[in-house]
Amino acid sequence: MSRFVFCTAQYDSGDWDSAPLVPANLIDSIAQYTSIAVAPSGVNVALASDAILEYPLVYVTGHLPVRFSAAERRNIRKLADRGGMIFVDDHNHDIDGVFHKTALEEITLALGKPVDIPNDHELYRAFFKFDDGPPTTSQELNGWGDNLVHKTLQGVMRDGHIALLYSSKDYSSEWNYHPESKRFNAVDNTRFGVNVIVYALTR
Amino acid sequence: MKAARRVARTQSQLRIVALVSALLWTGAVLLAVLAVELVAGSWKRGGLASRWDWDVALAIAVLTGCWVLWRARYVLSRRRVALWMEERAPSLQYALVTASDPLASGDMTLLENAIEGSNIDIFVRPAVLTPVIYAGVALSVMAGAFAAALTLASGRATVVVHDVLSGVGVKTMMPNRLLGLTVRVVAPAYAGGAVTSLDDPSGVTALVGSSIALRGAGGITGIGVKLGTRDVRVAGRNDEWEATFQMPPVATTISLTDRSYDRVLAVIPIADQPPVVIMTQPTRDTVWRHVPSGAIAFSAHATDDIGLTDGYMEYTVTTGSGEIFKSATSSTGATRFGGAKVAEIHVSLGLAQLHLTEGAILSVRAVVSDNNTLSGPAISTSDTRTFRVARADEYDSLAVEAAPPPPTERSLLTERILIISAESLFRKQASLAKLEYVTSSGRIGLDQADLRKKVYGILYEQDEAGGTNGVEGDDEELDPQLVLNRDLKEAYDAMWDAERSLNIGEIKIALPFMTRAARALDRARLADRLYLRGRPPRIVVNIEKIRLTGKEKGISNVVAKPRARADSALARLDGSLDATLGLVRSDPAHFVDALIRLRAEATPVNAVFATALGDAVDAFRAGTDMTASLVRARRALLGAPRVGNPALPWSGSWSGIR
Repeated sequence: MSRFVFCTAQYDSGDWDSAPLVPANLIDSIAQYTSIAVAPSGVNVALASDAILEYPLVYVTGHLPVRFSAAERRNIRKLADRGGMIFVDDHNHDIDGVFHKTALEEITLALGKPVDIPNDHELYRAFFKFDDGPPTTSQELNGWGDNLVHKTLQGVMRDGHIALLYSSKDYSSEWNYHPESKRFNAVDNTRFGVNVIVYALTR
Repeated sequence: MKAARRVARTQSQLRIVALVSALLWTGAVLLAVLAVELVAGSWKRGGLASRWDWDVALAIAVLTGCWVLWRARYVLSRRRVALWMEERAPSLQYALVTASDPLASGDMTLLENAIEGSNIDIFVRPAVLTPVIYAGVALSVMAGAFAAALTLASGRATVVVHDVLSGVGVKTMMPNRLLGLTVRVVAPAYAGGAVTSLDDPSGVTALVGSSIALRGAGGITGIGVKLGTRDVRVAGRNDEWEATFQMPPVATTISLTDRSYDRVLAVIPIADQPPVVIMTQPTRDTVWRHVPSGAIAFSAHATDDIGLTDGYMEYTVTTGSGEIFKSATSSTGATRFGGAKVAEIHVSLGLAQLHLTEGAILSVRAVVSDNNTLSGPAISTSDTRTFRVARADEYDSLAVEAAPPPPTERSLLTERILIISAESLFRKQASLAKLEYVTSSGRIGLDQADLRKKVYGILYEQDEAGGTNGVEGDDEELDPQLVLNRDLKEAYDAMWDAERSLNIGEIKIALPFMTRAARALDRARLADRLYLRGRPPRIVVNIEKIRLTGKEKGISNVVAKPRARADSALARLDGSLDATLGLVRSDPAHFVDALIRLRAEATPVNAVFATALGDAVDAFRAGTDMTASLVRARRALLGAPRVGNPALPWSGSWSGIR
């Protein structure tokens, strides 16, 4: 059985590496809470390369305009068609921002228009239970970005499961700290990340 | 006419009548049985198609004819014919029998006269003709019934009867209306509406949305047409039937039925491909050192399989920094292509109108759309070219971005703690034995060495990510050219000297070096720390530590298993191909239909495989060898056969082996 490797997608446009500590933080959480065999560090893989198709979960984030190349768009389609999952998070936490607008446009072109994921979706029960849907982030509660608390996540569905998960909640900022600092949190805010990974691996 | 001649003449007439009646009844019964079989055959698959049915009908008819002849056997005896005539004319009172009896003697004149005067023909002639009339009527009725049955079964009034008589079989009598089909394909209007005709094809390949008309000879009664699982309406016109449908977006089959006949055609759609657009100028991204002025030229090359409608350049200007960005998207005027398959976009963009400022990012891409009015135009975009205006202050640290500081190493003692420890030990020197003093000093020296190695890692950027932390050779000479931080270098050198003295118990000599190292570290701490962008910190999570499972040191006891075949779709097609090829022996009549269905199923998964199957079907129908096509199909699924290292050629000596 091969280990789960957390994969961050490198895309040509924008700042794909804006949240470099998220992978380590989620790997730490997977190791803490689950028995999933997990690689101790993540990898950064070009979205345009076929190597990206080897990873069941691909993390995409950034602040700047997202303009996928033809190869990147093709691989996103292939990932979705082959049962992989893409987790896109708006590091800009602004639905009027450039990342949100351009990323949604590119996602719609590649896979179709994302729809709201109901808050009782199995994603919120995949490991930890989130009765109210996606947990809020400090960026939302502090009124940064678009000054909204987003009630739901969005997604593109394939055969009844989420092929692409889109978040405007800015989990990239929320989880972008060294895992050693997690012990200072009263409640671990990366628990939802565990759900995302477990969902991607088990659905 | 004498009585004997009269009887002889009637006997001859009756013989002819018996023969004709037998033939007419044979025909009538044959038609009756065929009509019954025909009606039954229209409901039962293959019911009328076999030679056996034909033979049964013929046997029953012949038996009937024989039975009629057997019943007329009396015509062989002249006396019985005479009695038959007497029966029709009782007034003769056996005069005819007596007069025609060859054994009778005496004068027969009176009897002959009586017979002559009785006008016997009035009674006999109708009786002679009656069996023929009955048989003729029966034949006419049965012929009508057969025609009605044929019409009911085939929906076609015109029947080629001579085929029945020629004994070729009933099947040729009721032509299969699914043979000799013609297919008329009309491409969608946006694609030019080209019309193509195909004669008796095994499948139809056309652009999605094309209008397809299947035509065959004969009436429409009994013709069934299904596209996938959906019924297609069949219309009739001029002794032709026609089924019209639109090419669906997914490959499927069209199933045709005509009474007991059926046929399958593959329906393979050709999707309208979205346009392809490539930005040809500029060819790469750029960073402008200053806010640019003037104009910049953009060019793009676009192609489409059907035709292009228009295209333009879309540009986005993003300004801001950190996590606060603003953007504005606009586009140049559209260039009309008028349905051309190949087109160019040339646009000059004035930079002044973009109001670029320091730090702004200009993203430009070409957008083109095709002329598909059926399912909506497909829109394609080129790769994006990005132009960034550098900030005035960024050239001090071009392409350098602050990154978070490395995690604190809590297992290390600071230089200041080491100094305090060394001073404390030095003060106790008088009260300690020399061995204990030197040993304690050596322990501080070891801590000093750990700290020095850490500084070495920072100094040469060989932290955990580099994997060389703390493993540098003690005798390694440092290259001054590689040093990025002179304060750290000074601290490193001072630690080196302090460590040597501490290891031999010379604390008094070591302390100045330690103090020097501490001051150098303080200066280094105040210095700006710069980390190259593009190399985000690589944090290796200690999984074993988190799970409290320790490090795995032995050989894994998990036996690796070969991975399952990733592409299960190809494996499924491979299995289906095996099953289909098995039909060659078990059910050859449906082999081609199964092959056509498999082609339709495989088209969206593996086009090469589907094309090879189409070739195999064509070869089979043409009666030629389809092995080559099937081999191509198999290789499309499994790849080319692997060839191992060939054996060395025999050379007759060892010279060929090295």
